[in-house]
Amino acid sequence: MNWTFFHKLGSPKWFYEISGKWLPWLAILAALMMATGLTWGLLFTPPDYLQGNSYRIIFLHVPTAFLASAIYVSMAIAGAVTLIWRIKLADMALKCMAPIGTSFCFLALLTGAIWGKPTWGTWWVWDARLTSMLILLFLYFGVIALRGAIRSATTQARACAILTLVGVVNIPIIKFSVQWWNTLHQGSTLKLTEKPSMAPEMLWPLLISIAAFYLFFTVVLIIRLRTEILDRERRTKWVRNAVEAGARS
Amino acid sequence: MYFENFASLVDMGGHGIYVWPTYALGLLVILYNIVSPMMARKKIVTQIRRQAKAANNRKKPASSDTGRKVNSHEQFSANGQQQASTTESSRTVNEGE
Repeated sequence: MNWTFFHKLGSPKWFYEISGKWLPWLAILAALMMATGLTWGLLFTPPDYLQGNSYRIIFLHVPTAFLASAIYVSMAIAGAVTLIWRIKLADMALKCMAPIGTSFCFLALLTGAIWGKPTWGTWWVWDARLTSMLILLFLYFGVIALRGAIRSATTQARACAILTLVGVVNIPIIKFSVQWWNTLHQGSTLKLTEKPSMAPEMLWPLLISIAAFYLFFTVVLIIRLRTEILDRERRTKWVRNAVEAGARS
Repeated sequence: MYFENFASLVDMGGHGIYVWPTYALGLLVILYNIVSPMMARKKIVTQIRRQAKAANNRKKPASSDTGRKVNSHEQFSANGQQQASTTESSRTVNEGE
């Protein structure tokens, strides 16, 4: 098999150039979709027959909770790539995804707590879904703290990759917690294998919102990665040229 | 729009006090995710520009003094533990002195 493609993909310079072209379009698309999904959900959908208007939190809660797990899995994949192929860009991605994932995990927990108050009568319970999600937040903190505690860049990369891979065991626990244990948290609204239990007029804004948050994540990840590339490759000629050419984009 | 007037939109059948703060928090997290990487980028770009300038100054013997000053300042302002490359640049400065 020809591996040049794979290594080209891992080249920071190549990524920097190609991502610069994509970034504005992705950003515009993300902004439009997020505005559509959230405004639709907030203003134009009917209230839930059981939960009333409080369910409108779903349009923020579900996308951020999805992403909190998905970003962690992506970090684990990046960690595996770092360990196996030692591709620098994978470690950069792992590093740049961590703060974004943390912020979404934090938002998922907060929006869940606020939603819990009118729905369950309490902000917080130590049930399986909520607790495993809190552990995910601590795992994120752990990965960020670990990198800060190590001086050498190569050791940083290895240690963070291993920690992320170990922590990924928490992801199936989060996913199946609502089936394995009798939780206060409701079951999944969206399932890949079944028809969604949600009415289409609520489902559409939710799906748009989820797609918008995924796009938004991609956009901010690209911005962070480009900065990280400049930082790590600052000794190279192409970075100096790029910066001197007015690296505003 | 589902709501008949502005008051019912704000109130949301008594759930407005939960829904609106949630969306405000969401907006804050989104803003953080936009502002924080943009500021980081600005910082790194300024750093690299300054380093390149210092390197250029060092090439000209007449202005080598200023060049070194800028660079040793860089040594403290740059996030020292972050990168091997940063340590590398400070090492060059030390050798020069």
